Amino acid sequence: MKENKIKILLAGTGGQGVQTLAHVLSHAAFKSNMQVSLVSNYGLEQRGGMSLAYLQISTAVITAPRFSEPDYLFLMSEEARPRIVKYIKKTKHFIETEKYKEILKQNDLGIQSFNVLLLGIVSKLLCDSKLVSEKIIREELKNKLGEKKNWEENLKAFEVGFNKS
Amino acid sequence: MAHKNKFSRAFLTGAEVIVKAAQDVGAEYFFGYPITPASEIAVDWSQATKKNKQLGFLQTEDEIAAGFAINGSVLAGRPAFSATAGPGTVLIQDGLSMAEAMRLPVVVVVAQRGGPSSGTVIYSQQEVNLAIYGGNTEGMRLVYSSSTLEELYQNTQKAFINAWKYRFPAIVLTDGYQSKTRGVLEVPSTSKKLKSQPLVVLGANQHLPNIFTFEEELFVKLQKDVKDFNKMAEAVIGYEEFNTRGAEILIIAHGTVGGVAKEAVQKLLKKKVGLFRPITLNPFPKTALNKLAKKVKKIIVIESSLGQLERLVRANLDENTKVDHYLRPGLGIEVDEIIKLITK
Amino acid sequence: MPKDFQPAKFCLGCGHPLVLITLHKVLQEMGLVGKAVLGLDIGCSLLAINYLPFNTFHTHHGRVTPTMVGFKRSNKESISIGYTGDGGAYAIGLQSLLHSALRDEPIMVIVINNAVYGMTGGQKAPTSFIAQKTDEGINEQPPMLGAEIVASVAQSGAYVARGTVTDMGVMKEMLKKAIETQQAGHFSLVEAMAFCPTAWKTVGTETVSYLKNNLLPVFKTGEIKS
Repeated sequence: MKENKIKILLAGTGGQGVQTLAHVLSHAAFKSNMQVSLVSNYGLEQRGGMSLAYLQISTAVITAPRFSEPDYLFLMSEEARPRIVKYIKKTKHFIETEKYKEILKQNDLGIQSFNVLLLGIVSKLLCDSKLVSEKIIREELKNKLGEKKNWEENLKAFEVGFNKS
Repeated sequence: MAHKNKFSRAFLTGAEVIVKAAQDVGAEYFFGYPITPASEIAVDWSQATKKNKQLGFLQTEDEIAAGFAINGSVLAGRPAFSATAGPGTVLIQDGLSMAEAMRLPVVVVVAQRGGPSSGTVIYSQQEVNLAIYGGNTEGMRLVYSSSTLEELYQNTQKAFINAWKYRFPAIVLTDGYQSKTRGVLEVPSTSKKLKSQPLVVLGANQHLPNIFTFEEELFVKLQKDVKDFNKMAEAVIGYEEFNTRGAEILIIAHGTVGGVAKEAVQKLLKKKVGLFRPITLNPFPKTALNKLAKKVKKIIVIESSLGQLERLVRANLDENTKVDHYLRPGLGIEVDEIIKLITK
Repeated sequence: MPKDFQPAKFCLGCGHPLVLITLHKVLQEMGLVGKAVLGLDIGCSLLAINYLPFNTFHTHHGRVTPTMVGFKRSNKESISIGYTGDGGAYAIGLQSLLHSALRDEPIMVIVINNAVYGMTGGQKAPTSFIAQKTDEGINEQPPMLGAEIVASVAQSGAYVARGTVTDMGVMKEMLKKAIETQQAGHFSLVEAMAFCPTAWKTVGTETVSYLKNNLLPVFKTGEIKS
C-alpha cells in the first residue's frame, strides 16, 4: 500500500503559539492512529527568539525526524524567515501567513488567536488528506485550550480557519 | 513457556522514552544537574517519583557530584543513573573513571549537543570520544547509540541490565534532536528487569581500593578487567546491516544519522548502497564490519562530528582499507543530502 | 597488636590513626561496627583502606561527600562516614560539602586538618596559617575556617565540631555525637586538628608544639553547631 505522508514545517517567533499548534496537530494525528514525528527547535532565549516545529504524519513508520523538503512551510513571523530561507526552494507549498492577519480583523479576532486560526487552516488540510479525523482535532483543541482564557475566541478562530475556502 | 507481551501505543519524546525504559527495567535513583538538552530527563524522572515512592531523585550541586552520587548509590545496591550533555559530560568523567576502575554498574545518558565548550544546546554526535574514552581510563564502558525511539527504549534497558550483569559503566547516547522528538512507541506491557545486589554489604568488612601501591598490582587487575570486558563483548555487541547484500557502497552511520541514512538507503535501493549501523559503539562490532568491508568497493562514514565515528571505524578496520567521510559537526544531516552525496 | 588492625601505612607520628582508632572504639561501644561504611578521599586518607575491621572504599579526591550522599540515600540503615583531609574538604570538595550540609544529608564527614597537603609532598592547604612554610614558600593567605563555614549553612539538628588529637577524650565525645546526629537523620561534621610531622618537618615533641602553637590559636576547638 502506498504511503500517505505529509511533512509540515512551522516557523515563527517564540510566544506566537507555534508549539501549541504543533502539539494539537501531532496529538490529534497520534490519536487518529497515525505514525507521527514532531521535533521542535528553539533559540537560546527563554522569551522570543525563533520557534520551529517539524511535523510529519504518515501511514508508515517515520525513521528520520527532520526533513529539508517540506510539503507545507508556514512562515508565521518575519523574524523566523532567515532560519527557513534555505527550505523555501524545496518546499511544495510555501505559505506566508501574514496575509491571514486580514481574516482576523474581518472576524473581530485578536492577534493572540492567530495560531488557532492557522490551526484551523492546517487541520482542514490534514482532514482533506485523510490523515487526521476532524472530530479528534476538535477534541485535542479542547483538551489543550479549553480551560484557558479566550476559549470562545479561539474556538471561533479555529472555525474561521477550518471553513476558509 | 512463551509469554505473549501486550503492547500499547504511546506518544513520547526521546527523554520520556528513556525515563520510562529506566523505570520499567528497575532503575531506582536519579542524580543529575540540569543542562540542555538533558534537563527534561531529570524533570520527567522527578515527576515520576511523585507517583512511585520507590524511586529517588536528587538535583546535585553539579555534574561532578552526580557522577559520584551514582557511584555511592550502586555501591549500596540501588540502581542509579544520571543524564548530562556537553560540558556536563566533561565533568562527569571524574565519577565515570572511578566507576570503570571499581567496576560499578552506573548508567549515564549523554544527550549530545554542539561542542566544543558551550557550542550549541541543540544537537551533535560529538561526544562519542567522551562516552568511550573520556576518563583517565582504557575505555571499558558499554556505549549504546540508538536510531529510533524503540531502540532507545530497548538500549536504555540493555544498558542497565548489562551494566549490572557484567559490572561495567554503561552510556546511553542520544542527542538533542532525538531527546526532543515526539514519536510513536509501542510499549510492552511486561518489561525486562535488571538484577542488582549491594556491592558493599554491611558487616562484611570489605575493602575496595581504586589506588594501588605497585604497578604490578594495577596491571594484574586490568588484565582481569579486560578479560571480563571481552567476554561481555561477545554477548552484547550490536549492529545493523541494511541492504548490504551485493552492496558496492557502504555507508557507516550511528544514532540519529543512522536512522536518516537508513531512509536514504531505502530510497536508493537499486543503487547497490548498503548501511552498516553500529549500535554498540563500544565494544565495537569489529568482526562484522571487517567481513562486510572486504566485499564493498567504497566505504563512507557519515556523522555530525569531525571524525569521532570515523576514528573508531578506522581503528577497527584492517589496515589498508580506504575510508571516505562526510563530516558535519553539530549539524543535522538530511535524507536528500545523503542521496545527493551518494549519487553525485 | 590487636588482631583487628592491619599494619599502619601512616607515617610515624601521624594524626590519622589516632582519630581512626578512636572512631572504631566509638563504633564498638555503640554496637555499630557492623553498620559502618567508611568512604575515603584520595590523600593520606586513602591509607585508611583495610586498616579497620569494617567496610572501606576509596573514592576520588574531593568526592567522598557526594559518594556517601548517594550511598546513604540508597542504604539508610548504614552509618555512612566520609573521611577526608583539609584539601578534600575545603578546596576541591568544598562545593559538595556545603551543599550536602545545606540539604542536611544524613551523612557524617570527618576532616583531618593538618593545614598541609601531606600525600603530595607538603603544598599549602586552604587551612594553612599565615607565615606557614610550605612547598610553595611562605604562606600569605589567611586560612579558611571550613568548619565554621559549613556550620553557617547547616540546618537545625546538624552537628559541627572541631577537636584536636591533643585531646582525644573530647574528640571521642564529638565522634559519638556526630554518629548520634546521623542516627537522628541529620548532617554532621567533625574536624580534627592533627599532626603531620613529615610535611611539617618536625621531630618528637616539636610536632605537638607545632600544633599547639600554630594551629590551635587559629582553629578554635569546641562544638560549632549542635
